[in-house]
Amino acid sequence: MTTIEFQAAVLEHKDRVHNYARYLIRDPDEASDIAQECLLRLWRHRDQVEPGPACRNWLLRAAHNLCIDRVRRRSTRMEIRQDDAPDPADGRPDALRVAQSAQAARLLQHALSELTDRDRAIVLLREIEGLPYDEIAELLGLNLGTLKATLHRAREKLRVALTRAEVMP
Amino acid sequence: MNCETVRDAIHELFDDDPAMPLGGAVEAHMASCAECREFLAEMTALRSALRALPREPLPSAVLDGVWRDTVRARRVALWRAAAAAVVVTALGAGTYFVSSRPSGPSQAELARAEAQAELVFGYTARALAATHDAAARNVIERKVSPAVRGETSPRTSRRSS
Repeated sequence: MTTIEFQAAVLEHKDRVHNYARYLIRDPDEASDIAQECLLRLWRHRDQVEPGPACRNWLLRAAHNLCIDRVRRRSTRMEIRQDDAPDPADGRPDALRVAQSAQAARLLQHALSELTDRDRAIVLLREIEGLPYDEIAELLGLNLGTLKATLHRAREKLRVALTRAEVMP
Repeated sequence: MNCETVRDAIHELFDDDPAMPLGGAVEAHMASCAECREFLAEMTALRSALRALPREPLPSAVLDGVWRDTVRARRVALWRAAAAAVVVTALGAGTYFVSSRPSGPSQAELARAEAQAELVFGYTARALAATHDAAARNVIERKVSPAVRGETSPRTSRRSS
């Protein structure tokens, strides 16, 4: 990977890596640190990484490993911040829709945080990043059967959590 | 076909492409099962909600840090290497220039040159002395004009008389 390709890869994948870390580790500051560390590692290993999907997977794997390391190191789990949802008391239709949407997002984030780290990683990689199953399996070191069974179980947990919170249709 | 089988089929559908048709047997079950229709609607809403989760860009300060420690640092390193190369080249050229200058004469060469100079000066001195002596003899022996001997010329003496 040349310097130009590195710059292009950073611009293409920086937000993806940042958001993956943000939802996996649930700490914005640590997520930024992890994203930065991933990009610096990519620079150090740029001779061994091809641009394109291989680079994307390399970065996501690096982010995943760094997140898991940090989660293992810290003993307490961070709670999802509850103070950034808009006030639903505003009765205007747009504000209500935004408030409901924000509430759904907050509840979904909370439901995600209740999953195990591995299950959450699978949901993030498949449902948010849209990675193919074989790439997720390779990235997380799982076989396809285990991956699909885990994803079905995780989806079901999220569906139930949101249904109970009555944010689903 | 029971509800469990149908929900497995819906999961499989979401694994592949939710836009694909469910298949005749599943469709037939769905037509008569409100719970499975609701399940499908909830799964669709879940996927939409997951894909609509807020995404935040990497903070610009973090990105600046990445550029500073990678591409910009490389540029600085290249400039430093270029500057160092210029300095090394200049030092090398200077050293070569100094070392390639002809060295000074050795002591033996100096002694030889001094002896040769003394020899030349000796010859010159002797030649000058011989010339002086010959000139003196010519004056004494009147082989040269009186003017050379310091006497007044005959023409001059005739005018005065």
